[in-house]
Amino acid sequence: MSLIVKDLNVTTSGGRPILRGCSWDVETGGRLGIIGESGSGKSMTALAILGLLPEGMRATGSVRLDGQEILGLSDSQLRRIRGSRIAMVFQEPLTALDPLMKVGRQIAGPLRLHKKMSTKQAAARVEELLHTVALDETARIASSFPWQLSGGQRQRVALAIALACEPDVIIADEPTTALDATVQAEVLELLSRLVSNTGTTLVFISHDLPVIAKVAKELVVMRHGEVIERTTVARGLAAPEQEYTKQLIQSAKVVNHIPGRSGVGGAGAARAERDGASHDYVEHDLSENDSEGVER
Amino acid sequence: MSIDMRPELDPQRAATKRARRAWSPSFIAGIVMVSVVLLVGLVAAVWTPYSLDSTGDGGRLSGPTSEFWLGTDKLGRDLFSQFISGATSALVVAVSTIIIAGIIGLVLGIAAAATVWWFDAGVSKVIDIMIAFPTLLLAMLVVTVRGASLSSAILAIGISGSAVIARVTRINTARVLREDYVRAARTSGTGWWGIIGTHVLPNIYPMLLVQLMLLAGAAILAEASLSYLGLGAPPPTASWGRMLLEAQSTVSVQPLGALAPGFAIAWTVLGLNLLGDGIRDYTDPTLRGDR
Repeated sequence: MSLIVKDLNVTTSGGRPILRGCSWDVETGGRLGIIGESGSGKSMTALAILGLLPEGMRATGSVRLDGQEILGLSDSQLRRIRGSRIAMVFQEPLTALDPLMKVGRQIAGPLRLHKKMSTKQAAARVEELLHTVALDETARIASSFPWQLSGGQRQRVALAIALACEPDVIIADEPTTALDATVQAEVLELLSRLVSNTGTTLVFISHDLPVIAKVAKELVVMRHGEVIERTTVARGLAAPEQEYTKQLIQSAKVVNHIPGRSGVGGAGAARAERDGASHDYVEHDLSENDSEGVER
Repeated sequence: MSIDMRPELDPQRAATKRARRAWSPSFIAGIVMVSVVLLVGLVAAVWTPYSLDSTGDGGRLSGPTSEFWLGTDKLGRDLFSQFISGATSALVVAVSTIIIAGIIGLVLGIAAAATVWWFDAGVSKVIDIMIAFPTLLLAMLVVTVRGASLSSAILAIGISGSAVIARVTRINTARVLREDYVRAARTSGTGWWGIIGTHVLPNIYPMLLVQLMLLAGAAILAEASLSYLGLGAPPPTASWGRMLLEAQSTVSVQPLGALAPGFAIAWTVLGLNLLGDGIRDYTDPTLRGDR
C-alpha cells in the first residue's frame, strides 16, 4: 500500500517545532530510506505516522495509507492499524522485547490481537515466522527469553513480530545500528529479501548512508526537522543536490576507509564530529574492540 | 581492563554467584521461619490445648508444667494456647492487610502512572499525606468510630499500608511504561489494558511481592502495638500484643508470659523481612540466570 506523508508538522506542548512541513511518499512495495543525523526528526516521523508521539506533542498535516487519512484517527482506530497494517522494528532489540516474556509469546501477541488466533494456531504461525526470519531451532528460540538470545537473533525475532500480521508497511527505525558489522549485513539482507518476497512497503530510517544504500531505492534526507532533499538512492549518491547530502556521502566514504580506532583524532574526526552518523560509527567500532579485549 | 576486575563477565562464575545469591541462607531461614508461623497458626485455628477463655484447673500464674507448657496467666488461662492462637491472629492480620493494601495500592498506583497527569499529581499528594500520617493514630481514629476489634485494626493498617504499596506501584509502573518494549507493544496495536496485563504486572510483581512481605511484617507489629495499647481485639481473640500488656504487671513472677509473645513477634517479623529480602534477590533481574 502506498504511504503518503504530506506537510507533516509536529510541535511540542511548548510550541517548539520538531518536524516542519515534511512531505514524502512511497508507493506500494517501494523502499524508502530516510537519512539524517540524530535529532533530525526521523524517529518522530515514524511515531507521528503511528499516532504514538510522546505526551503533549501534536501532529498536523496528512498521512495517507492507501488513500485513507490516518493522522488524527482515534486511538482505538489506530490500534487496528498498528501491527496489522503498519508494523515497526526498533533500533535496540534487547530493550524492545519484554525481558520477562518468552519470545514465542511475544511473537504471538499481534497474531492473537489482530487475527484473533487461538494459542495453538498462533504457535504454528510463530514457528513458521521463525523459519521465515531464518532462525532454526524454532522450539528452543520460541521458549527462550530475549536475554538468552544473541543480538542478531533478537533482531530477527523483532522482525518476526513485525511480519506476524503481514503488514502493508514496515517502518524500520535504525534496525541494525545496535548490531555488529557481520550480523548487520545478514539482517539487512534478510529484511531486504523478506520485503521483496511479500511485497511489503519499507520505510527504512537510518543515520548510516551505506546501510540505507543496501536496502532502499528512494531517499529522503532530513535535517533539523525538515526534509531537505528527496531523490533516489542511486541519484543521491551520484549527484547530490544539497551540500548536506554531499557531506553525508563524503563522511560515509571517510569512515569506510579508516578503521574506527584511528578515526578518532585523525582526519575523519572533524567530519565525524560534525556528522552524527559517522560519529556513532566510530563509537560503535570502539565499543566492539573494548568488549573483545575483556573477553580475552 | 583485566578479567579479574570484572568477574561477572565469566559466565560460569556468574552463574554460581547467582545461584548462591538467590538461595542465600537468610532466604531459606525466612522461608522456614514463616512456614513455622503458618503451620502453628493453622493448627491453632482449629485446635488449642485449652479454650482461650477457660480458667482451667492450673491455678493462677503457675510456672510451666507438663499440662500447661508455658504456665498460666493471672486469670488462670493457659498461656500456650494463647501463644499459638496469637499466630492465627497474626496470620489473619497479615493476609487481610496484604489483600486490602494490595488491591487499593495496585489500582491507585497503576491508575496514577498510566492515566492523566492531574490524577497522578492528586494521588501522589494523597499518598504523601497518608505516609506522613502515623498508622497508630489512624488506627485510634478507626477504633473510636468502629470499636476495638481485629477488623478495625486490620482496616486501619490496611488503608495505611496501601499508601506505601501505591507509591511503589506507581513508581515502578511509570518505569515500565517508559520501556522500549511497551512502545514496541503499542506499535503492534496493544491497548492499555493489554499493556498493563501482559507487560506491567509481570514486570512489577517481584517488587510488589517484596513490599507486601515487608508490609505483612509491619502489619503484625502494628497490630501488636495496638493490642498492647488496648486498642486491638478484645478477649477471647488471642493477640501477642495483648499478651504483652497482660503480662506486664506479672513479669517478675511469670516472665514467660512476656517473653513468649515478645519472641513470637520478633520471630515472625524477622522471618517476613528475611523472606522479603530473599524474594528481592531471587527475582532481581540483574541476578537472573538460566533458571
